[in-house]
Amino acid sequence: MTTDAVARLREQVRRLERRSLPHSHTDTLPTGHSAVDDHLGGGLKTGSLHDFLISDPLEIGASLAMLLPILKEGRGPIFWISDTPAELNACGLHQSGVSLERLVCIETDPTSLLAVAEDVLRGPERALAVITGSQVPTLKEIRRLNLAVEASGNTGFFLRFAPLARAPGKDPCACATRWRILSHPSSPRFFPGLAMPLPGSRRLSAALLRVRGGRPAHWILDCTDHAPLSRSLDALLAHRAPPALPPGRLPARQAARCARAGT
Amino acid sequence: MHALAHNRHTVTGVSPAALAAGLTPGMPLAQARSLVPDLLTAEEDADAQRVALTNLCSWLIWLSPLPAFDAPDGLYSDTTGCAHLYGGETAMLDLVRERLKARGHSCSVALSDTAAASRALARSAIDRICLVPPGQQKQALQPLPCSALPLPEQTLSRLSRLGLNTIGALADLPRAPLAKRFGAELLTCLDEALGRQVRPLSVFQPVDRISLTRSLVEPISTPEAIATVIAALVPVVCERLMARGEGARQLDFLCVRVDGSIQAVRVGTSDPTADITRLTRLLKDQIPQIAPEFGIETVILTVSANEPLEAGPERSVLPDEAGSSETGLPASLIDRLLNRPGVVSVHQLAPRFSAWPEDGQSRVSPGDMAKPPFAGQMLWARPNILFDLPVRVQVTALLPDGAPRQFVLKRQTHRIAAADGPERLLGEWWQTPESYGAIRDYWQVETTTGLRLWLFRKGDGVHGWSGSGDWFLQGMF
Repeated sequence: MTTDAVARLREQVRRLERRSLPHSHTDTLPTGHSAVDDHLGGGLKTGSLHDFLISDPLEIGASLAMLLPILKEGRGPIFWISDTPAELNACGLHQSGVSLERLVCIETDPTSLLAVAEDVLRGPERALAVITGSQVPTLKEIRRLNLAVEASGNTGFFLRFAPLARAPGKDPCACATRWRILSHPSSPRFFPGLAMPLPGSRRLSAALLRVRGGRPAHWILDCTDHAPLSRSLDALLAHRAPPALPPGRLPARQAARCARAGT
Repeated sequence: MHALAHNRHTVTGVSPAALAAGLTPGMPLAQARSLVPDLLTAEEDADAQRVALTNLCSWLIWLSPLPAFDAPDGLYSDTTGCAHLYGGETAMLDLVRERLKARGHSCSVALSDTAAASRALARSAIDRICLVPPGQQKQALQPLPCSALPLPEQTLSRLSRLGLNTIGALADLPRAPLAKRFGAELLTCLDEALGRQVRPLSVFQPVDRISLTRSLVEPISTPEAIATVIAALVPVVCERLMARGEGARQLDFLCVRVDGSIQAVRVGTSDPTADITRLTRLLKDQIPQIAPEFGIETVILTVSANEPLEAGPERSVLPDEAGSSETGLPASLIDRLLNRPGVVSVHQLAPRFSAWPEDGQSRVSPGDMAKPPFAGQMLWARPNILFDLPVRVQVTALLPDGAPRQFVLKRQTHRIAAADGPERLLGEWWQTPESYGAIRDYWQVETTTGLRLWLFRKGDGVHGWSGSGDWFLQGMF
């Protein structure tokens, strides 16, 4: 066998393994939770698709609490592609740290949602795309998008409704990861003089249902970034004026910073 | 002015002073010189005149979008539906004459139902305004001499020999003998002036519109062939744009089919561009919109809106590894999305100051984002998901103005484990009388399952004037 043929074979193998693509050194987008990042080897991979299942319309906030810090880390503009008007709130997103200049909302026909998503993801421009649609994409459509993101290095996130009873998330999946993120009760903080306790830092029950080349896992995560008390302490004092706290016993907001892994 | 005609110099244009001295256009130059010995003359420059008339015609765009030439020294303007912009037809004609005078032209303006009648009226007098009410051009034309019509010299002299000096006399004659003697041309002229026959104006396209027309050897109908034509036209257009230092904001691609109908495709760009690959891709994306049917025989590519290219560094269209393009939006991708069929809207969210949260943001077109007007850190947290129409919920609270304890949404009871609030928002009493005194108390609540929701109560729970006391779900954190 001549060296020429060997080179050709090598080339074929490389093409099969898609290592010839310019983005073979895939970046990762850190989630901000050390346990998750360790498990995934640094975070969610760029140049791939990630599937977030939302079990209940009211639970969308939990998925966003996971997704928005990831988007904040990513490079390039964020395209929010939906087939209904997006119910995003500019002030809330700004507080979550997502720059509004980077966010572009695209509303499409239900039929051309995935085609528009492919147009965005195929590049050559750098982009992050969040795709929220009512219909479930088939495996073929997702593989098609997969080819697009592999070629361009862009990252796509599916946010789709999949009720726990009807779709347990065990069906085959062409995305790199599949998540189901539910809210988890936080530890409320009791203050003297208040009838109801204040919500503690946000807690998520994040289930990694499927991951390409890895094990599924489940975590209870504390997100400090999305605590409703994300305002400065002086503002808190000025507007609440807690009556009878001895000095030095103000609630330490840094205490719950570290993510708790396990269970 | 004089020009060489039939081997002799003839006066073609005179100044008002010369007109007063008895000189008229059409007079031999030698005769004019004998009448006024110190006559100052200049030879006519046809090219310069044409350029000047073209300039004047493109200037006339301010009046209406449909100006047309009446060579060598007249201009038409189709002002249908434009008169009200200038305060009526009389005011419009006054304005036209005033502006032409300001440019140093003496003119005669006429307005009537037909272009030919207006032309005859305007040319029959100098420095006059003539406004003919609808349907009365026949009466207006009656006293005019036949020379006001665009007839050949020979026909005019034969008419005058017959004693037919006015248009009125001509119009009263039976038509058949006229046609027999003078040919159909005379009757056509007459009919056009009287409005019995319509003559289309060849509307002048201003020169600052880059337009390319290609007649194809054979009609094309396949997408590949259309793509080839686009690929051939776009570089020429881009070259012309670059030569003028401008970029296209809007392109019209017109395909004239064999049956004469036109298939039009319009693409817009978000910033002026003369980039060949970008424009080619934008146009090629639109090929499925074109229905060639029996074939396309002519294509026209027009830059219908152009702007000067921004000076300074070129905006990068290709992705750069350094990631310096993070701040800017990719213009080419935005263009593709805006022109893509199936896309309903492409927008960005801009916060704005408003009392109620559902009015707290506006949609702006991409790239139009001003600096977000956040004066500082907002005191209270805002949800990521906000419903424009708040959802009515049934809430149980211990006190009418106290924190909610549980609520019912879609026949499902959610118990509340923790709550933060109330954040009191007051209505914009300066906007509508309904929002005078209106109060909303917002609570951030966490249910026992961990859901974080944004509830509000209309009113302060005590006073009826501040709101009904109903509870609503408005957002999710």
